[in-house]
Amino acid sequence: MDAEFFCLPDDMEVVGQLVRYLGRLVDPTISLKVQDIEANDYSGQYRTGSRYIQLLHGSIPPERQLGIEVNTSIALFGSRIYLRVYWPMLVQGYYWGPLGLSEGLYRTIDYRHFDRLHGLGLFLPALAIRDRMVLVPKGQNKELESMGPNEPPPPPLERGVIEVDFRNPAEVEQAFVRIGEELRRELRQELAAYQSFHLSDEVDFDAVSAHLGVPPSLLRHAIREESSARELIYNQLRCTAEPATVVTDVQTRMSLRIDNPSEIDLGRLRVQVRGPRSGLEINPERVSVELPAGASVRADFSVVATRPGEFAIEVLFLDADADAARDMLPVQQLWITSVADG
Amino acid sequence: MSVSRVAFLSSEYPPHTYGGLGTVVEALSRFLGARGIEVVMLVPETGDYAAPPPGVSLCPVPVGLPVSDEDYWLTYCESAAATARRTGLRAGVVHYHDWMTALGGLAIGRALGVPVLMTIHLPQAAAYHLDLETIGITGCARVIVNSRAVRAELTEREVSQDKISVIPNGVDLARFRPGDQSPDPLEILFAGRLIPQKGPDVLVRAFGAVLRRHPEARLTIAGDGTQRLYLERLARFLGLRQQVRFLGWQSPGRLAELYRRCAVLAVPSLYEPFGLVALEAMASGRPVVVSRVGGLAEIVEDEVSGFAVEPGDHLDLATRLAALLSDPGLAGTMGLAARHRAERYDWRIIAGQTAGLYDSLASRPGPERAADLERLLLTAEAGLRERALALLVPEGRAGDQALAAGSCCERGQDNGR
Repeated sequence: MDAEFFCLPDDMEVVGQLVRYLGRLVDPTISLKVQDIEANDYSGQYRTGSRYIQLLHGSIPPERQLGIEVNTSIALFGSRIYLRVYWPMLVQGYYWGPLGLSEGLYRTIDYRHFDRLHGLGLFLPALAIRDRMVLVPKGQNKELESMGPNEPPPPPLERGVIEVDFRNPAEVEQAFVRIGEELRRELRQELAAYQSFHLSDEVDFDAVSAHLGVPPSLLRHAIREESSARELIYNQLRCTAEPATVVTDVQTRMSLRIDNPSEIDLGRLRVQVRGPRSGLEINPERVSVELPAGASVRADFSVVATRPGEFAIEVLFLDADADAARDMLPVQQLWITSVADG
Repeated sequence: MSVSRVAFLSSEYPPHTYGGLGTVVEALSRFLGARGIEVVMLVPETGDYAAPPPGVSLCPVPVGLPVSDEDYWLTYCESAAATARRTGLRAGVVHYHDWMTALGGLAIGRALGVPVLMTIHLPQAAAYHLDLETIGITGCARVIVNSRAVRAELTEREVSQDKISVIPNGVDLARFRPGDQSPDPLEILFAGRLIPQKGPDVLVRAFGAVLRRHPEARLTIAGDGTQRLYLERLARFLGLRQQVRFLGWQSPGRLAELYRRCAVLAVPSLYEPFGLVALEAMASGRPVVVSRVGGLAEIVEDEVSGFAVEPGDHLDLATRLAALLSDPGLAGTMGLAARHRAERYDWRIIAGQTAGLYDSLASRPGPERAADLERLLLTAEAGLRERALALLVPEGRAGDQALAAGSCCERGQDNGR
């Protein structure tokens, strides 16, 4: 696992400070690669620019299902780097409006863009750890908000980055504390998801570390840190649907049995069940349940399959008062079968 | 009148292909060449293109080091027109591809006094690109699009239906063919750029559900793009990283092998003008599960040669993918139907349709209206207007001066046809 620092020559003075914080607050085995944008030749700049864009995408927290498209025309710009940024993508921020030459003609626009970014202060310096950007220059979001007429970009933390003044040591140190915490929380989450496919009571730290691409020391640190999370990783919720077979076109009461074998009282949760939008109707979408330690509960849903076959359904565990998924409770996938009557 | 030579203006030619455009241009020119139609391909000068096949010649266009994306393509267009003059280019038809080369194609067509066609591979949304695309559409005699879905998009933009010809992309049935060996019954393949438009994140989420039904299933992702690291992180987040293989960009030859080996190809695009990879996999005898969008919905017969699912619905996708993994017999039957369906898109047939269109335009000059072009140019951003006028208005011609002055005239009157 590496950290990557993208910078201009003037930013080199903060490298030593970053190395110290990485070792002390994230993991002592992490090495820092410095990418001086101006030090590269044309093809090197292309690689660096492409990598930067991928890292910015990589910072989007997967659980948020947020889409951001960031694009670059770096290949065509010779010795200068320009970036185009599009916020947000595909399903949000649509608007209708006239378009330059095609005045009178309208179509949906799903992004904002700016194509003449003179200077790179908006994007550099920046720090990436574990294949995603984590630190970007302070004020980036504010500047992005001021550009273009579309929906504003999501706040930095929602898109997985922290804005920081790299020349303010106290601010940088505080950011690293948060990065370390988030990284370890994420590792616990990933380990829980991994374990859901490899049901066993023991974790082979070397194998799982290799799988997750982190040093075993960091994984051990993450597991030691929070006993309740550890308990949930080893004693995962189990879901079963009864009946698992329904008759096509017949409304059937499906009972979802949820077992909490852990010693953690999970309190009140909202259970969301969803299936494919075509071929299967599930009602209601959500029910609330209490899930004490060592308990099993049932949640009832009505299911109608409109064609025979197997259907994938998903069970999500949400906080009772928010739409966010509860930590350490991975999405459960189940299959039900629909058979034609007779 | 039969056209024997055509000038192509293309932003891509192998190995510099980024999306479908370069692949389509290479194949179309090759199959036109095989029909005896000489293709002169004006491409940006890079120095390392693949050797063209018989009947196709490359004419590199110097571009230099521009200051922006737009400047690059305007410079290309100016240089293409100059190159055509310098080399004494002759052609019965000029055919340009997408917005990047439109002004160059129009300029060369006007200089030669021959019909011009535009193929729109991917309709544009960004303002500047859309401006150039609109100029390209307005100035040409005919617009070729690869699906009825794209035609519908253009007609929403008030482009006349009469001006649009739907000619789908083709497939090379010799390269993409069923294999002798049985496919891997549990391998799902994705091939394409890793960008939001292609929906690879939808597929990774779907694969999580597929794994619960088929724990030995594997997902192979061939391609690269801005979402690659995000997708790797998503796979870890879902606990699937071991079962998802990221291969990066693959050559066409290697892709053909991957198609033959997989159980099913998933094409989860959120937007897709055509969907070339679906057609290639179908020609390879593999069933496909595609989003019900754009050209994909026209290529794939739902529940015959594959399944069509709701775009963005990962559980619908998972349901259909698992159905094919669960029933190799169904996968085999659909694979046969897919190959049969793909044969309709044989490049020899598609090149024949294109050649027929060239001939019809050559015998009946198109209704290009300089007045429309003039209106567009007069409202263009100043920098673009200046360079476009300089390109499209050769000095000393009465009709051109009228265009420059803002009065209306028919293009046919300009070139004396």
